[in-house]
Amino acid sequence: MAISKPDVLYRNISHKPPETNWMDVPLEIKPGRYCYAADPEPLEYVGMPNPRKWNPLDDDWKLPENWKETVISGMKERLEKFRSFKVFMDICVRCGACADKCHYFIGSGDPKNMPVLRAELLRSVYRGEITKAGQILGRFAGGRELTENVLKEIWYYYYQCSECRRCSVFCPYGIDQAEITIIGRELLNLLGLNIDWIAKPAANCYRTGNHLGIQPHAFKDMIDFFCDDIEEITGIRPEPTFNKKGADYLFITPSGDVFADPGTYTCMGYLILFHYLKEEYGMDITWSTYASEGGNFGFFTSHELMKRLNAKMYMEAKRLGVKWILGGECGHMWRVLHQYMDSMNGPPDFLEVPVSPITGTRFQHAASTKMIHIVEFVADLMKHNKLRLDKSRNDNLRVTFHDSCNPSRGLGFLEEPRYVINKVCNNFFEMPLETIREQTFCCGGGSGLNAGENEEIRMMGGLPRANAVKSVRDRHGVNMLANICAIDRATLSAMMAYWQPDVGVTGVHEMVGNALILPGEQERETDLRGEPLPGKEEDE
Amino acid sequence: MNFNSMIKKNKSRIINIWLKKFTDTYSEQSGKFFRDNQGQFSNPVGYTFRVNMEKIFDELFLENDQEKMSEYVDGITRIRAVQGFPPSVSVSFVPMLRESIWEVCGREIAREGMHQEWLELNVKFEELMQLAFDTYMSCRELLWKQRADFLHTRTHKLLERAGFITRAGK
Repeated sequence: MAISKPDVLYRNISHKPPETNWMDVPLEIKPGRYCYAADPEPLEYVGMPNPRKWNPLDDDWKLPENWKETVISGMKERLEKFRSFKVFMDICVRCGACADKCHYFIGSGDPKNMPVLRAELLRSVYRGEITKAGQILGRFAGGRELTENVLKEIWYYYYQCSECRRCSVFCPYGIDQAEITIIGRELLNLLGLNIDWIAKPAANCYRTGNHLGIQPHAFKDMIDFFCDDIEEITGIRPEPTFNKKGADYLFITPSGDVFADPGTYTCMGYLILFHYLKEEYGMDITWSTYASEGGNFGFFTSHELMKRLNAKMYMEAKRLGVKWILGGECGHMWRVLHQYMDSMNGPPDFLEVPVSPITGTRFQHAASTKMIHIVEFVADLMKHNKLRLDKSRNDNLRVTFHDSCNPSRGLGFLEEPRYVINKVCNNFFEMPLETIREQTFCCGGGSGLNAGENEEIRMMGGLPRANAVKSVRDRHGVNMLANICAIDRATLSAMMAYWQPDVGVTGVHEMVGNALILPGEQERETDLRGEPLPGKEEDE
Repeated sequence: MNFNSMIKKNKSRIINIWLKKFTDTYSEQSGKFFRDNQGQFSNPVGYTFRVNMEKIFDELFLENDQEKMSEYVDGITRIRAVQGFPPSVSVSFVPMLRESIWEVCGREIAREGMHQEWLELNVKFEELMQLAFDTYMSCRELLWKQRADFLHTRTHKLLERAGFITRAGK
């Protein structure tokens, strides 16, 4: 066969993808966008169905024989059980208000990352397999048959949704794609179609008490390392207690704060704060090496597993006999607590309504859950001038704040972190309004999507946030991105390294730890990262 | 009218055609979104493309400063490097600029016999292509370096904590 001349070949190259109805676009599972399949062991450990070795790139996903019946009956069961799911399957009018609100769509341009279309992947199955209109009219009524390819497509895109709920802010009906994704993943889990980065942490948490499977002695060792560093910097050694029966309060934070930089510096901030509160006010806070995880990866698996993992925190509070629980800087821990805990495991009548022993403030919103966020607790302390602070220690930082999806949209937690930041640093700058508070962009790694193998989708999803950071960096010289979520700290660090390498990432309590003046401390030369404090650079 | 003035006069048409070609590499709806939404924060991809395309265009006919050009090319390429396109498609905005200019001005260039100037401009396109290629590779290498560093640091820390390795002086 004759080979065409170069100019003819060149003219025939088209970069334009073919125009096809979305139902006919063949599924292509792209590296960098999907996560590895769950290993059988963690699924077995928590009693999830169909544990086996499988690979999303293989044709055969080793589904159980009756997989289709399982999904459809599972869907019917959930339509009965969750009114929100039924409403969300029925009422979308395809207005498109949500279409360009998802960070993954904005960054990737993949239409199936439009929330409306992501929901439609499941909604079309609901219509085609369950509604009368869909069964009779089929595709004309927006219905389609549940085939293996359709199932694979749902799997691929439902693990490209971080359940951040930004789209729901713009939906005139308030359709919450996160709720649809949660049910979608629950249906996938009926067939053993979980991802490894969720299944393993969930099983570890169920068995050992935290996502990483850190055993009690290692957990304590890590905290001891932090105490060594704090002693070196401040001359004061905090003396945290572990599993102390009869302590007044139990503190639970994401295990990422104990094992992953820069969360570790946030953890040091907690330790400094608790030491201060113990010395100044006699506040007795204990850590648990068993309930050593604030996050809840059961939430990304099924309602049932979420309930089991959440219950562990309360069982430990009961065992230790504390008054109430103080929670660290975490994202989805707070959504689970605020939106689900009370009807799953509540009310925990063995605990008291949280009241600050220092200011007397009663946290009425937590009257039922008996657990409050460290940022609201500290904001209250600051409001009552109960902390001695030297905010000039953070003068080398020009800070902006990333509202984590769950505390902001799931908990309405907007002012408290800003209040604390402004009390501990002099240079705070907001990103544009359309990128923060209720409209905040996800970091790109929420809902269990912070695995190594899907970094590219995270980079795409993180672009809207990075772009907003760039604007305050260019305008105000911002060099630090603060947040109150362990997943943020992990995800944003890698994301900033790619998009804005001169901007670092910090937890709010790292800055609190820097600013807080411990009674009897030595003159500090460095911050918690070991970097010289402002004005101390020459003394190096 | 000289060659540069003739092309610069048609800037907005050229940029529109260029952006259309480039965003046509996405699916229809997405391309339309990237082109039509003017928001800096609601459409960072489209906004960044348009702004940097305008800057590249301007710079080509100014001093062609390599440092500035690197920054503009980086704006576009850094996004494309994570969007899953083949490398050639990721940096296809460079040949698309040449095509767009030719579509708008080619007839006049031929009529006025400005072949020498067109050739000289093509040399700049080639330099631009090399710049885009280098930027693309540095982005991809950074992604892999991050992954490698993460694994290296984690492994090292685990070994250290387990007491299998000790640093000198400890």
